[in-house]
Amino acid sequence: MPGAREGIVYGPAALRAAARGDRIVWAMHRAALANGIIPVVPAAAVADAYRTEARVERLEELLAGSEVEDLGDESARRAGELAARADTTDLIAVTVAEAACRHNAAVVAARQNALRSAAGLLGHDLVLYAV
Amino acid sequence: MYGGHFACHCYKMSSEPVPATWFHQERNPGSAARSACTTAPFTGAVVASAPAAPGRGRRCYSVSYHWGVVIKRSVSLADDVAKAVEAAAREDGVSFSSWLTTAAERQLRVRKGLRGVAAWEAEAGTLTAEEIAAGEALLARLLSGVSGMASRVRRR
Repeated sequence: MPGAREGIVYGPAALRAAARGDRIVWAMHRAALANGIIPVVPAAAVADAYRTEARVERLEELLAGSEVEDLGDESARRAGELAARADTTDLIAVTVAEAACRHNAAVVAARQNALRSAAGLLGHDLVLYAV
Repeated sequence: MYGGHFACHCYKMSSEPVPATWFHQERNPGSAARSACTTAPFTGAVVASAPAAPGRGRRCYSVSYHWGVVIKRSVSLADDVAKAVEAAAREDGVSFSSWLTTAAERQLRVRKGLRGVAAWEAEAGTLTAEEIAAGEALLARLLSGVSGMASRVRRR
């Protein structure tokens, strides 16, 4: 079994679930904040959620208690290289996996092969709550 | 270093260019806390102090290069808290001010986040005690390394 995790990373599906009113996601988000844990969201996941979700006010309510991580020059290069190694075009899943590895965090996201294979390439045992 | 009841710290957030004339006048120049202004490491910053007129304490001039705006406050910290913060900052390789700023930022983010949850609840209905417990249990499972899958989606 994977070891303990210290944080939470949201993928686009977590944001969409919250926007659509998934109460368990909101309850978990509340629990995280109450425990001083600020969920991390890669900027690419935010972009995808805004692309696909019309209820932006709910996204904003969730993101108010999240840390959106910019995709800077260095992390963009890392993500591209990792995507190539994972043989995927899903850069969002790759950035989510990379953030999870870097923060030693569990992931709330859709079940995706790209997520698991990118995490595996990083030597990170993925802990996933699939929404 | 923080032997008194009152620990007074320069607390700076600035980015270049900043005027080098900003200063902080300590309130209790006789306390051991005075050295906090002059010795606290501050990444990317130049911190210098100079004695002021007799009886008027020391001035602590600062120029720093990596924060956006300089705001200075004198803060009172319990002695044990100040010592713990100092140790943690040293361990993390950041300044006392930087460590406190990060802690404050996190606290503000949590506060803002809980307000976001409350805003959502105002629209979607307050989370019940059962839902809150389920959220806490899910978080605990994930943090202990156990994966899971949404069994049913409860939406409102």
